[in-house]
Amino acid sequence: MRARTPLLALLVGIAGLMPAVLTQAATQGTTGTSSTSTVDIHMGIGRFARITGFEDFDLGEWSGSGDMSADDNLCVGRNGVGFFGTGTYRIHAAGDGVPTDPAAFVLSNGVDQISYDAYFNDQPGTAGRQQLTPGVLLGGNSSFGFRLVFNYLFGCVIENANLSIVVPESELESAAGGYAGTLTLTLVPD
Amino acid sequence: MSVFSSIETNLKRSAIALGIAAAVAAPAFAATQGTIGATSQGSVLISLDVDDVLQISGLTDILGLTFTGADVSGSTDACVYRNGGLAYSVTATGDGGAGGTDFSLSDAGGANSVPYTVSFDDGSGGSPLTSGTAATMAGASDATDCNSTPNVQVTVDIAAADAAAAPAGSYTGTLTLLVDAP
Repeated sequence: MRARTPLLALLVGIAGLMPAVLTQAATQGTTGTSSTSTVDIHMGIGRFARITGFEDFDLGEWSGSGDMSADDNLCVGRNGVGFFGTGTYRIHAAGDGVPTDPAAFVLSNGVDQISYDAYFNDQPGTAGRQQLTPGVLLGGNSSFGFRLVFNYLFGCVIENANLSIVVPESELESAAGGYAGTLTLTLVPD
Repeated sequence: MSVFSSIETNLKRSAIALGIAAAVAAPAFAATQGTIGATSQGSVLISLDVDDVLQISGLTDILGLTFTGADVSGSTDACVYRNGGLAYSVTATGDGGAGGTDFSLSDAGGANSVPYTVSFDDGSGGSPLTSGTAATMAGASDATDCNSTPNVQVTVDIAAADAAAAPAGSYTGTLTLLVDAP
């Protein structure tokens, strides 16, 4: 018996040096008329999102007075929220940019640029919308869980957000020709 | 509308939209739809057309001119706006003479008239105008109100000889100015 003591001490020492990753919770069956083993199963689910429902804004022809505006309802979806819960998210917006602001909301005719304002609403329509700042995440957006889940799973099923733009008259006065630009929204689930 | 009826309505709309899409050629959208990921990104193309828009405003009547033996002159400031602040043309037309387009003033009965000349100063100096003939001018203001600072001046001149040849009386006329893209 005394001869085993150094061996046990050695085994304990080696076990203490083994990395934790080798630790298994699984239990092994023993010999018998039946045998039972168990394994633990772990799976990580990240936060995923999907934003759809985008349609181009063709503002048409300026009449010579007044602002020009347009809006479009969107479908925001994300996982990780209960069907009857509420999920929150942030929105990042970027326009075509100018040298001093790479995300600036601008339209160009190839020579000159004019600025526009962009707004996001976490519900359909423009009532209660918040103004977007180029390149800055807009927080405080939320939607009911079932809407988020449906839109996440199936695409644009339930419109639950709105994107709108306004080209001010003051910008249009100095404009001439055909203008175009791209506005990109990025959905970031909280 | 209940939650589920809303879903049902939207699903129906989607089905109808799919049916229509299958029946007609799909329009060429530049918009992109987000895909599933840790973040999701979509974009829209924004387009608009701004055709030529011009305006002449701020004109005031030229009143109170009196012939006292010398040439008579009167003027009015005005604002000419064109989007983009581009060049423009101006056409001045009188209402005198047999054709009703001469630069001339008439008395009440129309039996007597006094000719006048018109010059248009776009900020680079006055240019004489011919009735009914367009003349190209330098850049307009790109603000509809010229930022409250007139940028043109219209001047009418009546030669002393012409006024001296006309009977005493009161003479009036209308000068019409048209601005357009050249």
